[in-house]
Amino acid sequence: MNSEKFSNALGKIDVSYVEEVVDYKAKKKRPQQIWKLAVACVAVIVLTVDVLPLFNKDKEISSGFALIAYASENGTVVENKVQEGASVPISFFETTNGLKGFVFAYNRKNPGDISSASIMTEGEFPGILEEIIGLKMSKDKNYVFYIPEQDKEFPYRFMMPYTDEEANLVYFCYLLVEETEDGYSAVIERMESFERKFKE
Amino acid sequence: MVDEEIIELFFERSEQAISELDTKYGRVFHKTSYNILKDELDAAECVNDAYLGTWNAIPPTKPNSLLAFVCQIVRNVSVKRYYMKKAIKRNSTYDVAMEEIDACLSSASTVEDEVETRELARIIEGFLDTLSSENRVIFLQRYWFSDTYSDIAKKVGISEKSVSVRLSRIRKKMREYLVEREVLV
Repeated sequence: MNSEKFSNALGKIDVSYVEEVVDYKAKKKRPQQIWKLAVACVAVIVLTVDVLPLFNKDKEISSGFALIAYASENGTVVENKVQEGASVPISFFETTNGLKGFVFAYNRKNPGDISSASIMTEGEFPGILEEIIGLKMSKDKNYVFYIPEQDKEFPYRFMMPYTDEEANLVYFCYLLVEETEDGYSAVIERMESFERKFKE
Repeated sequence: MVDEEIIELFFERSEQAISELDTKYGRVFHKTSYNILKDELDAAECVNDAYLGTWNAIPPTKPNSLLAFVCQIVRNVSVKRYYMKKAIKRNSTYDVAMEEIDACLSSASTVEDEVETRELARIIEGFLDTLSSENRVIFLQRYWFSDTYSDIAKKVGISEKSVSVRLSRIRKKMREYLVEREVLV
């Protein structure tokens, strides 16, 4: 087949497809949001205990925080470690109550932590996080379901905080999610950590 | 004048039907043809030929969308003219658009000789049905209307970069679809 045959065949498709194009009206977009450092709304279905620290950036960034992004490849769910400067594949997942977003997770580390799943979004409160279709959640991890604001264009930038009580540190993880030819990718643009001055 | 009134003029065999059609949609028809031929004179001739085709088709046909119906005639006439004039210099959006398709469809061996144009059209319709409405519009705007990335981006309300990424992804998906149905091997 070549483009001529394809073009001739395309000229013979039902006129209703052409009508759809002729009548199409783009969805109204809300004005682009200025990239924010903090998200507007977080909902937690299982409460975790934490205390807002007073930050004092005395220490260099250290390891201890490993973020995982979930991708669906040929029907199989794959975990990819998100790193600074190196993009990994990530996919949209859907919950049983129709929420669509990207799924991240990190290992539970803090003593007394209860495994949790939270929603992170910049838009309106989307509702309770129900089961994520196709994803078997582990009790050893905490999950974050990032829902991009409706009609917002790629790339998405957002910040994910993480507290490591053992190390007495709070991490700020600045993430970037982009569209690629094959789907989507996630990368950590930068990580900052701060020593907690106040702890429970 | 609304479309139903123009169609009524065709049914009454009133020549005013053509002038009303041209007044209302002439610019769209001309743009559709010009996107393919990149020549004002040729585009004008093709639009006139399309008006004759429309006059012969209505009645008995009573189209739901007059614009879409006549655009289809304009496109087919223009594509036919394009391939007749093979010597036309490569400068139209249609050329670039079809080269993108060529790269997607090229294969050492195909069963193209055994696939009739209309059967292929049905297969393409099946593929189009797998796309979201927005992606379907993007695809047809590019390969049916031969619109530029800029025009597509404006119509759909996304960036040109997004249009490029989406089309690349859709072409890949189309190739897989055609391979599955043994149109390509």
